[in-house]
Amino acid sequence: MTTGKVLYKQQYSRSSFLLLNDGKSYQAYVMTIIADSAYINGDISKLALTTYRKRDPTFTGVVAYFTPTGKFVSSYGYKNGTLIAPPPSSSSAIALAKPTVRSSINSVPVKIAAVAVPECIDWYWNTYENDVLVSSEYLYTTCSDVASGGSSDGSSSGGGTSPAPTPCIPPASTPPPAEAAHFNIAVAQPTPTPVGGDGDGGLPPPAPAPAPCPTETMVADTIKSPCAQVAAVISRAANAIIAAQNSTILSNTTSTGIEYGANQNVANLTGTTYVNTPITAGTSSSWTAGFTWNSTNGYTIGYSHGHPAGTGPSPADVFSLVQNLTNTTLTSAGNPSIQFYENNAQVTTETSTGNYIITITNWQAMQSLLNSAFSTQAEINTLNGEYVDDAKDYLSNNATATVGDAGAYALMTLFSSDINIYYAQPGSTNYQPLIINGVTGTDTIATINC
Amino acid sequence: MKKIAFLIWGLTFSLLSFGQNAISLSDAVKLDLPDSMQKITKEEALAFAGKQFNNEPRTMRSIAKRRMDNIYRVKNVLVTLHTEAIQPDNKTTTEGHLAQLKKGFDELSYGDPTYSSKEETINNNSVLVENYIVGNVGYYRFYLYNKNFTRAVTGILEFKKTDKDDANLILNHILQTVSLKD
Repeated sequence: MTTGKVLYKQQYSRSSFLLLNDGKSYQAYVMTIIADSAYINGDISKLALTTYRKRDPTFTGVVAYFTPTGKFVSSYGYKNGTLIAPPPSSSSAIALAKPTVRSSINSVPVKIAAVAVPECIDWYWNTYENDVLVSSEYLYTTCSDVASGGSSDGSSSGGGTSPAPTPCIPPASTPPPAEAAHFNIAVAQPTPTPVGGDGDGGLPPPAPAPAPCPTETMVADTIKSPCAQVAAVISRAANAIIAAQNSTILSNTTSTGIEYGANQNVANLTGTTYVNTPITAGTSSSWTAGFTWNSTNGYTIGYSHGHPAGTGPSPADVFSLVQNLTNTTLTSAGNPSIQFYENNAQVTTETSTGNYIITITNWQAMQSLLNSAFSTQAEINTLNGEYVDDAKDYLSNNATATVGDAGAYALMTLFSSDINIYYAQPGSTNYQPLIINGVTGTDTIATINC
Repeated sequence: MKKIAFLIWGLTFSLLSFGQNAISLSDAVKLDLPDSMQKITKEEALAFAGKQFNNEPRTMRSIAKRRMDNIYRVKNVLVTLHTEAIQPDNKTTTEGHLAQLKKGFDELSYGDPTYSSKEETINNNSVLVENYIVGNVGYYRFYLYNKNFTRAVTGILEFKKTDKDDANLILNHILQTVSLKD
């Protein structure tokens, strides 16, 4: 019998790209953290409290590791911060239930379906592509606590820990996955030291002593890694029209104390010829972006604007990109146009202490966040408040930081791997990806040399 | 003359009674906290904040992610302190740094009627103080740098709105007593 239960909501998940160094070589993994609905309790920002290096002591949910090509490696479940022990063996009674799976939305990364037995439920990680089940991985089993009235309700039962399968090292020559993907994953944590354990110091490593992967056909991932994108980011910033616009925008912004900005419009969908769009003035705290999608005015794939007070990119800057996905001018142009937009959209924020460019790596997650946490004025106030808190906390912990960097840190904390942020010194187009180094509370942002 | 003597005695007594707890944040940074100060753990800070601030979500979220080296409870005020040495090759943290921070904070708090900020010099130290309210929680944040910008102390004071006077006294005491070596 199928329970039909979905344990974790997709929008409560975050994926990160891990590079682990065992002292001899690097292994790459995709780490997906999925939080329990009850744990999130309406505060989606709690997802950011758990990373590979640092785990929220109250975390309830599951962390799953995959190879970059999508092969499941292992999973660990937590309930109220405590690691759930794996089942004793695959031959135990609780593993005998035959799984029946439930469909998920087309191209949605993961949902976990369940199979009911009187006392226990086996949970599976089902992956779909175009509504077709392409893989099903056993994760773990949860059993009802009879004495306490049972815990098999998938919405609050927490996670479990899989019997650790043998992980593997993907071949060094594995090409980047195709664009028509399944996962949207970004932001590398450079050579973190696995901490594991069951304290609150982080998450267990994917698995010890990985072996080479067997060759097989897997679901493709989209890994819009910061370094993979950086050449395109630099190229656009160095474009003569964009560079001239940016120079004028920064100059006007700093000299007047008013935000100036311009659309970044390409002339057509096949090249990189930019339209010399007008530079317009906003107010001291905002600039209103436009959007066109035609051959006359060009196709808007981004914005440049200045922040006169030196503050970094804001949530509104990020969501200005996401909001365009529901602009009827774009949606009526069809899927190829939407795909082109998603592949090229970026927003540039210029300040007197440096410039920041943001790209979206997980459009689905950001759209979900826009709808659930940045739609009403109350939601906007809450998210902006958390952004300000994170920025100020960063400055309280890093007395030499700029407010620009503090804002970038706050965005990376809020949106995690769903965005990439690049930084360049004022007047430079040598953008480099930003990452967060260290554990929460003592972490700092730094640039990666790709 | 007697009145003046009494005033001097009273002032001395109040300073003595308020400043008997020297705290060393590092070998180079010292300050005083009032008698009632109590160094607490992260769990204690969260428990105190949960009860005192009615689990204000933004406050709880901030404390949960905070560096926990130096957290104190002083009366009903939560005091978080941090210090760091500024590297000699740091070219950005100079005299204009606080003005830039103030400009940024003022912009970040644009539209918040509870927010105010002030830049001042106290005992040759440059200080920026912010004051604002989140929900039912009052905040003082300060960023203090010595004359040559070689060391800094930052602090966060969180308190019930009704305890603002206590928080203000504690803040002023910290800012007056902090001592940073060059």
